[in-house]
Amino acid sequence: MNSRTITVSAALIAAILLTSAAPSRAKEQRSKPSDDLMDLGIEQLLQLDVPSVYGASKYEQRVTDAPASVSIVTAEEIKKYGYRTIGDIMRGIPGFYVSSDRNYSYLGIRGFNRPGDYNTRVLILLDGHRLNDNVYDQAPIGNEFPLNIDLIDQIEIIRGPSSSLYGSSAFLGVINVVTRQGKDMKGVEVTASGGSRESYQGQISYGNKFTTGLETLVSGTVFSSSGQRQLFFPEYAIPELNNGVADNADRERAYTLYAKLSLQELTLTTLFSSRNKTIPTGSFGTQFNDTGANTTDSRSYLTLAYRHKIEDHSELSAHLSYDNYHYYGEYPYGATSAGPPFVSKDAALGEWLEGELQYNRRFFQRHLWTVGGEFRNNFTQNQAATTLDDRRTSREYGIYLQDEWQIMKNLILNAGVRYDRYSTFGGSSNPRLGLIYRPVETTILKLLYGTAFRAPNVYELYYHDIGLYANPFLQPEKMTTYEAVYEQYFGQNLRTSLSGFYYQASKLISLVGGTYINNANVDAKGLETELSGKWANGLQGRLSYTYLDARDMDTNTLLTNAPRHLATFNLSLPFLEKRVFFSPEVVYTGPRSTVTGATAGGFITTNLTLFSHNLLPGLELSATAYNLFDKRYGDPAAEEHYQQVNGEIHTLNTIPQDGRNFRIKLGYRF
Amino acid sequence: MVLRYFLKLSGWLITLLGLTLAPAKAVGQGSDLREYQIKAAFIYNFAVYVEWPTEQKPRTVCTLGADTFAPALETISGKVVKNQTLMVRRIAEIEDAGACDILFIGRSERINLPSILDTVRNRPVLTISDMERFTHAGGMIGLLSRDNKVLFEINLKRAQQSQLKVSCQLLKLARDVIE
Repeated sequence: MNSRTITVSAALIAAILLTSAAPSRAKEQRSKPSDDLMDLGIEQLLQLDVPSVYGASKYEQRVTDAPASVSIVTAEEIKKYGYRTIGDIMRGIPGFYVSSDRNYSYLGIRGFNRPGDYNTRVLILLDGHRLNDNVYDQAPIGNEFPLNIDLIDQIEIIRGPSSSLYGSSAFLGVINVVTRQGKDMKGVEVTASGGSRESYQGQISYGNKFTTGLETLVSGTVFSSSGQRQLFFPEYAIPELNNGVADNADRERAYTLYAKLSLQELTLTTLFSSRNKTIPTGSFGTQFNDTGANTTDSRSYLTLAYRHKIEDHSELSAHLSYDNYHYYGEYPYGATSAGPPFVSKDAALGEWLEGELQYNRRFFQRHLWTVGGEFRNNFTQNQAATTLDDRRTSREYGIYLQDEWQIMKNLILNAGVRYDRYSTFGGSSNPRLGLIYRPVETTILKLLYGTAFRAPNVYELYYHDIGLYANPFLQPEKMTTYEAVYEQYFGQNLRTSLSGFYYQASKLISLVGGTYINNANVDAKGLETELSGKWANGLQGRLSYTYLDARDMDTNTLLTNAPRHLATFNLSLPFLEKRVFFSPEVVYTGPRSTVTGATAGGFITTNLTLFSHNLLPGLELSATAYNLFDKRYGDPAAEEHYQQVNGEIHTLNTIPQDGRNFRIKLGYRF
Repeated sequence: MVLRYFLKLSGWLITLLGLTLAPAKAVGQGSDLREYQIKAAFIYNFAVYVEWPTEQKPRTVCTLGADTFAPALETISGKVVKNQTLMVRRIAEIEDAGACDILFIGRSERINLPSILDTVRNRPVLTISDMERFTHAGGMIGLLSRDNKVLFEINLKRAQQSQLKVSCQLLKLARDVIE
């Protein structure tokens, strides 16, 4: 432990010396009296380097005025920190944690990460389009995310409920992924990466805007990984289960296709993606160490969006889409006294049409009204398994209204409400109120109140098969939240924030004994504090700490998979005139209790990325070591990870996670 | 043990941040000025590539709600563009924009933007700002920061409505042109 600390420190000091030397040299070379700038033409001005930093006034107004605590991750940060998936990004965001069962990744938000929850309580939008499917309500955050990470321009992470705008799923947070635009790419981009465990990824994209006004972006990605060759599960360490070792059972393959075409006020977007993952954990009592257990998730959609400005005071936007989600799982079972070996096949198909109409209008300079309506026709919500053939359809619609009222120059009241109607369970109204006060330019105070709901999905309601039972009587989950945020900027470079929140959730749906039930009434309290800095020489960093107390009020015990402490630290150090960046990221996740009553120990993971650009024109290179110190840790397992041998049940407490691994990535733009 | 390690590491990193803070700060302040100087140079160039219907002398460049930017912009005061001298003025209210040929609107005026643009609508005033989505809100030239570079977008329709002629060369170099 001690030698590691020394290694890190030495590396960082070395980096510091390099960085403090580099910028001062650069400064001497580059500083020019402003008079010289006047001699430059526009072409030359466009090439000049302007370091962006943030002071309060420079921060995007949307963020400081938003009725929520918001974090933003940019394309630049994705490159500098070597993020591979949305999950990688979310690990570094204050208040979030990610656990994985080596099949899917699950997002924990402020203490909520219920067993058997497939990311149903967070809404992921891709340019405003809902990605959660209509069978499992699952938000994809791993390699099943249907877009290559290199096509992301920025990600906005909105904490707390946004049911007043987005309805169901926007329960604990909204992640809005904004894609890059053709006019910013202006050509072809190719990236290739290779890493540990035979992981390869290739991507090619083309984007442009033509003089006719037509703008396009097309992209394709393939990904393949053999995964961990051998995985050891101590709970299964008996001779009948290969002494707890799963061989070659961690494979993953994925591809994505994406195309966007815009002309004037219309944008047509389509995507298709698919991912296949081998399941190494012998979940649902399937044959352990059998490489046949796997799932395939495919997601596609076609959407036409329209945006029309009426004068300068209002805007009308609309979209109409067709969405498709397909899931196929194979679960091999061994021979028993009851019969020979067989493969249980599991499938789901969701298809839906979605339309939304939104109108924004400014009144009397002080009010910004947003009204809108959304409908979804779930014309296919089918599930099939060995003994199941469940075909469903449903409809839902929602209408919403929001007013951003500029009471005074430095005081905004944001009030909104949304009414949702589901053909399955009825209606739900959810308000949100935010008071945003800026006593001085560098100080922002926010008081927030909101309620949220989440409708049970068809999987939780109707699925039944080996070891799982349906519960068509599930009720929607409800939550009331209070939050106070204090943000303070110090000069141009430093920003601090302190946030206290109190969430009261009732009827949370959890998987208990093979059935989803509305069993938990949860109170979550917490404090989140963050210090971030960004300097003109390219240096940036963030330090955050979150204290959580998420408690089941019926039993007065801490929730499973809810750490009490979370901390993150990241830093990006520039050198060689901002052509090379050395970026460590350290994440601490506190101990979590598991469904089995055991404890998953707290752990620290350190990732280190060396990123360079402009060494040669158009060339980008990066090398990342993930989990640099090879910390062995496990995430709490949900109850489906068990094996039955000679009448005895062996259940996994935790699922072992990746040790040290590497990736090298090369990108070229022409 | 893990926590101790984390605390130790954090300690190191905070020290490290402290170490880099001193030199960085100096550069930070300088660069801020530099960003404004580059933007001022852009505005100077826009004056070259845009034609006004009026033969007014001198060309008046006004700033509204951009006090931090104004000093950098004042460096273009007195420069000669197409036989016309540029004169930089700070104005406090939009009602004072009567004599302006170019109006730079600071980010702090975002909430008042609709009324500001309404006041100068259809008048030959080239509106410029570095606030987000400025051209989409009806402004003429928006300055944006992307990948540490300054880019600009043009709302050609608005410019034409105000009888301003924007040269093709400028349109070619814009990140986006809204027609």
